[in-house]
Amino acid sequence: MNVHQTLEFIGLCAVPVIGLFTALMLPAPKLPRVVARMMWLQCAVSVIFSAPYLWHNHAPDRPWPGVLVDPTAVLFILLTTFVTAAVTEHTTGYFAREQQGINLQNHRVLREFYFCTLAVLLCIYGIAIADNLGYLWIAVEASTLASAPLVYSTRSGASLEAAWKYLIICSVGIAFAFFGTALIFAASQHALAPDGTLSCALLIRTANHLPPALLRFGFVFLLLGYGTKAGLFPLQFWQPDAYNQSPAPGAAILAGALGNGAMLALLRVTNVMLAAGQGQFVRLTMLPMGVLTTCVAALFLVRQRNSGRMLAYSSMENMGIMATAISLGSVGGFCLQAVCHSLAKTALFLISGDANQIYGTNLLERLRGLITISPARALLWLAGIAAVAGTPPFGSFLSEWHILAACIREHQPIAAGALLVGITCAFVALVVHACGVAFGEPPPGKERLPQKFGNTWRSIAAPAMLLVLALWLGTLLPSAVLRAFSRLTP
Amino acid sequence: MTSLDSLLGNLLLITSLWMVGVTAISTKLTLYSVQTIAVGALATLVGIAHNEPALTIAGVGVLLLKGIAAPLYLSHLTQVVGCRKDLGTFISSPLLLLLASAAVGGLFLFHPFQQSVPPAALPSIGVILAGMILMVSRRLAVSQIIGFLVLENGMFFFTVTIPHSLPLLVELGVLLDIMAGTMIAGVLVFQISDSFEHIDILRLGNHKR
Repeated sequence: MNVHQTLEFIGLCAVPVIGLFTALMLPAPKLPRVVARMMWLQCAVSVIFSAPYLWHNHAPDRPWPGVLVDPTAVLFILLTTFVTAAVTEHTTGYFAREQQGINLQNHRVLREFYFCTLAVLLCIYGIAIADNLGYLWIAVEASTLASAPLVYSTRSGASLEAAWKYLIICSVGIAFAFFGTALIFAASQHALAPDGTLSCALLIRTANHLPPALLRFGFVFLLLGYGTKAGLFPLQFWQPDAYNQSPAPGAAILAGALGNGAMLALLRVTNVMLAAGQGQFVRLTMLPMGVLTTCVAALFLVRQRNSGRMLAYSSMENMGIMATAISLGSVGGFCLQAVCHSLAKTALFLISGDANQIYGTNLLERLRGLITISPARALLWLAGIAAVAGTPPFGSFLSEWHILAACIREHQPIAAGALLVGITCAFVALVVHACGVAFGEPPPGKERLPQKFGNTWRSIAAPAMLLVLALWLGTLLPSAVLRAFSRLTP
Repeated sequence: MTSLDSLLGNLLLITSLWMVGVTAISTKLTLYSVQTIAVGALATLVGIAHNEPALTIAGVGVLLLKGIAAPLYLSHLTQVVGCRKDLGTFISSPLLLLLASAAVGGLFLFHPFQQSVPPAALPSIGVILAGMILMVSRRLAVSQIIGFLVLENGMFFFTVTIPHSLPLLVELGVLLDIMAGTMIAGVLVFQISDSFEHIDILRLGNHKR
C-alpha cells in the first residue's frame, strides 16, 4: 500500500465526509451556504487530485487492492464534484424561495437533502475508482439508497410513489447485476483456478481463458442491472417519475451525477467483455439497447406536457447515445458525451426549478414567455436545450458526431441511421418545447419576476458557469478535445 | 453438488413457492425467516468445512441480520401499519402458485441455460424467479420488500454453491447494502402509510396531483 497515494485519497474524501457530519449537526438555515462553500473547496481539492492524471500523463495508480485511479476515474470525480458544487451553490437561493415541502424552516428535510447529496458524491467517487466488480456493485447500490430520499424531499404523495418505484425497480435491477457479478466470478474460477477474482484488471488480463458462455450469461445480467439504473430501454420506467417528483436540485443530482455512475459501471464491465473477444456479443445486446433507448426517448419527447418529464426523457436519450458509444468501444465519445450531458442537464434542471417557482407549475402549456419575465434565464434555458440536443458549438455535437462516425467505422449502418433519426427527432421535439417556454405571452399575473428572486445575476451564476464550460469544450479545436478524451481509454 | 446443498436448494425452492401461494403477511415472514436462516447456516457450515472464513462470516451475518433482524423489523412494520393479508393483484394466489410451480418445473425439465450455468445454479434461478413473481404479483409495499429479499436469497445461495466464495469485503458490503435497503424501504412504507393510510402500491397512482 502506497502511503502517499493513500493520503492523497483521504484528502480527496475529507471534505465530503466532514460535510456529512456538518449536514447532521449545523443549524439548518446556515447549511446551504456552508455546504456550498465546502463544495467549492472540494472542487479545488479534486482539481489538484486530478491534474497529474489528466494533464501530465500520470500512470494509473492502485493505492489499495481493488482500487484503480486512472484518467477516466479522475475525469468523473472532477465532473461530479463540479456538478455537485454548482447544485449546492444554486440551492442557497432556491431553498430560501421554496414554499412547499423544502424550505429553510423545514430543517429535517434540508439536512436530509444535503446529507444525501454528499453521500451520493462519495458513492460516485467509489464507482469511479472501483477496479473490482464486487466493490463496483456495492458503490452502485449504495448510490441508489443514498439518492432515494432526494426523490421524496417534497413529501407529496406523488413523490412518495416515485421514490418507492425508484427504490424497488433499481434495487431489483441492481440485484440482477449482483447475480451477473457472481456469474463472472464463477467464470473467473476457470481462468484463475481455484480462487477466481473480481478484479477488472485481472479479468482483462486472463480474459482469453474465461468460459464464453458463462461470461455472456453474466454480462446479460449486468447489462440488465446497471441498464435499469442508467434508465436504458425497456427498463426506464422509474426515471420520468423520479426526475419529475424530485425538487429541481435533487433532479439535477440524479441526472448530472448519478446517471453517469451506472454508465461508468457498464463501461468497466464492457471492457472485460471486449478483452475476452466478446465484442460481437456486446454489439448484439448493448448496441440495440442503446439505439432503441435514444429512439424511444425521442418519441416520448414529442408528446410531453411537463418540464420535469421532458428533461427526464432527454436524459434517457443521452444515456442511449452513451450506451451506444460504450458498445462500440468508443471510450472518448462516451466520456465527452457524459461530461457535456451532465453539465448541460444540471444547468437545465436548475433553470427549470427556477421557472417552476416563477410560474407555480411545471406544466409546459402554462410555462410561457420566460424571456419577458427573466431574459437571462430564458437565454440559459435555450442554450441548455441546445447543448443537450447536440447543437454546435456545444461539446455534445462533437461527441455525437464522433459516436455516429464510430457506428459507420464499425460497420453498423442501421444503428447509425436509427441513432441519427432518434437524435434529430429529439432535437426537434426539445426545440419546439423549449421555444414554447421561452417565447410567447406570459400568463396573467406572472409578467414580472417575483421580488423573492433578488439579484438575477447571482441566482443564475451556477447554471451559467456549467453552460460556459459545455460551450468551451465545443469551441476548442475538435481534434484536440477528441484526442484528449480518446487518451482516457483504459 | 453436495447432498446438503441439494437439500437446502430444494428447501429454498419449496419455501419460496409456498410464499407465492400464501396471503398472510406473518406466514410469509415466517417462511422467509426459515429459508434465510437455512441458507445462512448452510453458508456457515460450508465455510467451516472448506476452511473459508469469508463464507463463514457472511453466513453468520446473513443468519443474524437477514434471517432474524430483518423479519423482526418487517413484522414490527406490519403491526404498526396494520396490514395482515395481501390478496395480490390480478391472479389469485392458488392459481399463481400453480403457474409458478409450472415455471420452476419447466426450468428443471428443460434446463434452458445448460450451456451457460452449472446444474447447481438451477435452484438459485428458481428462487430468483419465485422472488420476482412475489414482487410483481403483490400489491402491498411490505410484500414487495419480502419478494426482493427472497430474490436476494436466491443470489446468495448461488454464491454458496460456486466452488470458492466471494471476497469477505464484497460479501459484507452486499449484506450491508441489502440491510440498508430494507431499512430505507421500511421508512418509505411508514411515510406511505402516514400519507395515504394504506400501503397498497396499486392505489398510489390514484393520488397523483
